[in-house]
Amino acid sequence: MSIKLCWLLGLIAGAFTGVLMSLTHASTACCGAPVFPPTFGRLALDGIVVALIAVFIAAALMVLLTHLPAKPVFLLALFVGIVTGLLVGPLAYHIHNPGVAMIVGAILGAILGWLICRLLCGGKLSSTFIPGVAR
Amino acid sequence: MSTPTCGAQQPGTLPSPFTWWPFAVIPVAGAGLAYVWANGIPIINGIVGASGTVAGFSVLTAGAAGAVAVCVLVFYYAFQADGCIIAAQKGDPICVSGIVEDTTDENSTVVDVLAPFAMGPAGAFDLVVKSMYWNFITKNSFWVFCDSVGASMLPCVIKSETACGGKIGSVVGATVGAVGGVILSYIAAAALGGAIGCAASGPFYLLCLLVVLIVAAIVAAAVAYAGAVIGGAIGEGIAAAANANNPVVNTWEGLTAGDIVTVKGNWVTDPNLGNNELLYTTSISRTGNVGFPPPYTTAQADATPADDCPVAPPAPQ
Repeated sequence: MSIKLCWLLGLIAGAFTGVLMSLTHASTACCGAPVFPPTFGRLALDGIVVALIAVFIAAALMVLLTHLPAKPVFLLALFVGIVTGLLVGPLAYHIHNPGVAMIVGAILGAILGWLICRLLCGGKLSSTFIPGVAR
Repeated sequence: MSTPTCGAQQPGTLPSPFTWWPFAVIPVAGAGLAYVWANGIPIINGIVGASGTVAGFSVLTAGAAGAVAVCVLVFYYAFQADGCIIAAQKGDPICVSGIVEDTTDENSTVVDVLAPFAMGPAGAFDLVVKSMYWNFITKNSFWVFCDSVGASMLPCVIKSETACGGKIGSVVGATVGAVGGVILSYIAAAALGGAIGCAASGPFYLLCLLVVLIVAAIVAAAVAYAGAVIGGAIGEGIAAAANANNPVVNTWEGLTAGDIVTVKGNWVTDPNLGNNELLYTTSISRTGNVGFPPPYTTAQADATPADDCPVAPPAPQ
């Protein structure tokens, strides 16, 4: 399994969390809508929900398209989604431009995804799952 | 020339270029979404009646984000250098001869139906080459494939024109689907927002907004993906009808283990695994069959009749 998978999952999770969390802020900060200052915990939870949805859809497509084993990919997606949503969600909510929030979230998510793989696998990801090598 | 070593050829690992494209796509997509958030999408604004710099355009932005994600996925696969839209890796034209060890049909019905933009080549066959062609297997390679008795093999890949049609169709379908998806996502999100009463005050206001935005993104992505699948299926159908009599594909489909063949094609080093291969095979000339099952040895390949390759291979380096 390539380490590219880790930061790519983080990038996708971070980008979507960034966009959607930033958009919720934009919507609550206007139009006379009542403002309930969200706590860190609520923002983190919302961020995790968005990140997990994005990352599980991405993982499903990766399994379909690359023939990687499903269980480790979804497990990795779970780790990456939780950590990325937890950290990017509250941050992105306070970035008022969704484009900027997307870029920041994507970069942060990619770094977090890479770090998670370094921590879980010690940076020594196996090549045995690279399609074709085992033929 | 000495017998090629099976497996890894060179110390170290295959040079892996930095994957730059996501870092190019993200800023462009971010700038695009920032524009949509501030201004909406010119024609679509009028169609769906979106107005205001925040509430209406926020839903459009969420829908656009979902549609863009699917377009990036489709375009990533469709614009690979596989000889369909982007030219395949340019190598040297070579001619080799030997015994077919095995053939592999790389068609996947699941991918054909669910992701036509990601279809690969039609298939491949492994050729146990004569020893005079070992140079084509080992030169500059990082990996050599061998059969179970240690005979080195050259993978020969067969291009699928059907896959190319699917990719082109998917690009068109995803683009059309993205536009339709953004429109439908806005309508769906507005209906959902009205149904669950996001305008109401309360501590769940933020969650309510988030659900509406997630629905907008997912609907837009789903419609764009459906467009890609439908467009790809149409493209596959057209390409299959137009290339029904491709001589290389027809000959490859008739190949069996033990066939003695002379093969021509574009000789390259695979950028992912580092093995040398023919990408793609441009000609297959079948001259007989050895008459017994695999595995085959290089000595058996050397014992086959003289091939019809026009020139001798270059000297080993």
